[in-house]
Amino acid sequence: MIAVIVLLDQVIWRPIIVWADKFKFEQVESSAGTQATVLHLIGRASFLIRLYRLLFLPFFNWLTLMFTLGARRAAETFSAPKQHKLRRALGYLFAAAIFVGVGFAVFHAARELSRLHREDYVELLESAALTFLRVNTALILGALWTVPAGVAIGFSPRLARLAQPLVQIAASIPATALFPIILLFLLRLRGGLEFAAMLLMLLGTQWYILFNVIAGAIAIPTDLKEAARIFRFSSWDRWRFLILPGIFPYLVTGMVTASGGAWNASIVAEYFHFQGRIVSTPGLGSAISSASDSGRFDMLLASTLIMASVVVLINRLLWRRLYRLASSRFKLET
Amino acid sequence: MPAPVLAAVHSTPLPPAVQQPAGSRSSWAFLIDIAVFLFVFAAIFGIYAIGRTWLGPVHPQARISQNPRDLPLYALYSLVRISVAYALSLVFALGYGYLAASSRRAEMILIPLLDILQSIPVLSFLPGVMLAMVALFPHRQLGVELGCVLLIFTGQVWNIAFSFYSSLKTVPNDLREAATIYRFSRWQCFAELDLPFSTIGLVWNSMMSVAAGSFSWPAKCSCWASVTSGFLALVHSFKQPQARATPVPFSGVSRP
Repeated sequence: MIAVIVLLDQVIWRPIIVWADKFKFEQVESSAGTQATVLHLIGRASFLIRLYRLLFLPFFNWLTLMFTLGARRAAETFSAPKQHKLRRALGYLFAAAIFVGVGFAVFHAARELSRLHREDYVELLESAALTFLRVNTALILGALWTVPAGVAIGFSPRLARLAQPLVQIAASIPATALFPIILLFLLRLRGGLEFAAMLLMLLGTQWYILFNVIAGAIAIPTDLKEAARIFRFSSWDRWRFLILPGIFPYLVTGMVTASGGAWNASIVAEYFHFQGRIVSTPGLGSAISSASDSGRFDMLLASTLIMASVVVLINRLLWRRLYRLASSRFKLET
Repeated sequence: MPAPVLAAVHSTPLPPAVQQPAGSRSSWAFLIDIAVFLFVFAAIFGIYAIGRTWLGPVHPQARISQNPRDLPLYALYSLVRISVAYALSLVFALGYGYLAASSRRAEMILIPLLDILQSIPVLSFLPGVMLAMVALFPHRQLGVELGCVLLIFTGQVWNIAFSFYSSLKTVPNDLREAATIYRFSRWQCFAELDLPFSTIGLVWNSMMSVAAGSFSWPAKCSCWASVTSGFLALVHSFKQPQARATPVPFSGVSRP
């Protein structure tokens, strides 16, 4: 498996990264580019390139031409967007259909949920708070080491060549496969599973942050980097004015996906079949798994709903604001 | 009078550095071309092997032979599964991200929905989806494979979709305005502005996704063996209702 990953890295990802480098939004070209062994081997005169020029380029040009606006429409003055009556009516119809469907589901869900007592809900909310804490601790821990590491990898092509396959291999090691080994060591300690659950979330999700930070660091325009060097930014200023704003949208994406992964992982991490017995720690994830294990559909529904609402709440309160910040303040603009 | 000029050109010897590598380079390219052709042949054989298995009869219990000679074949199977799932998730993510970024009203619903979908392994609560896949092609391996692809897909899409969405949100305004002034059509905006701008993020997230997908080789294929046999038993029990087995919700998780 490791051989296949390294092969994939050499044959597919490395050339793609070199190719993607030309899409950087910058006015000067970086001097030391990434290098791809396979691209060097293929060279310029080879059959593949000729095939590409002969077939793919004309096809894409044709496709683009197909979809360009006609001369007459392009010559029109800018007008206010038209209101499509039919489309609007269809939209309302669609919304009504969804509304009816959701209402039906809510009715049935409410009947199912009314079987639960108040204590159950209190317990579920408590466990949701616990899982929330765990998820966010794991996220912060992950971000703490991946941001410097990702920036280092993204800034130095030499380091990237070394680290890229390693990171991919590490990211493709299933955290769940490592988990029993970790448990073996940690279960002897007090609160071992608590710690182990966080570790599992961290192992599963830090890669999302790392990969996105690397992408963000690569995407920082070379001219900005050079300007920072010319003005002799101290390293603190470099981080504050160049790196952090540059990677910000990517960091947010990484954190969002990592938090999704961590919530997802909480279901395995907090409730584990281990050496023929069940090890669990209070949390929303363990509530979900134990409910699905014992076939208690009402409990399963309630805990899943709570998890969904927590996720939506975080999305509304945190991620959306950060996205808005990313698209207003930290945008690349000349 | 061209003759003297020509003579003058010929009299100055070309530097050897220009003359020689041209020849050696083209022979190199020739070798590479042969390698490419061999690769294409291998790929065609691979497609043939995949087609034979996927369209072949169902193996409820995956027989994993320990023979090292079979390892490349298994690697090929997994690779094809991952690439199909990846292609699916790329298309889905591009569509979803574009939709979410293009309309404010859609954004209000789609982004939290995406967040829910990635946080809760919805598919694991829906054994019905798997069941449908298997029931769609009850006599072919294809159904099982499709279910497996779907499972990998749910581990791969989310970060690509989020990445594309966030890049769309951060396309520089001056470029957007230039596109409007040049009267780019929607397709042009997508293909010549949005896609190139989001390429770097997409590439790295794809790498992450494929890595996450390849984590599921061992996990999925082992649990898959047990799950499929269970599902096949379920399928049969649906055909004869009196012997219906109680369905156990499949609580495997599609992401680490």
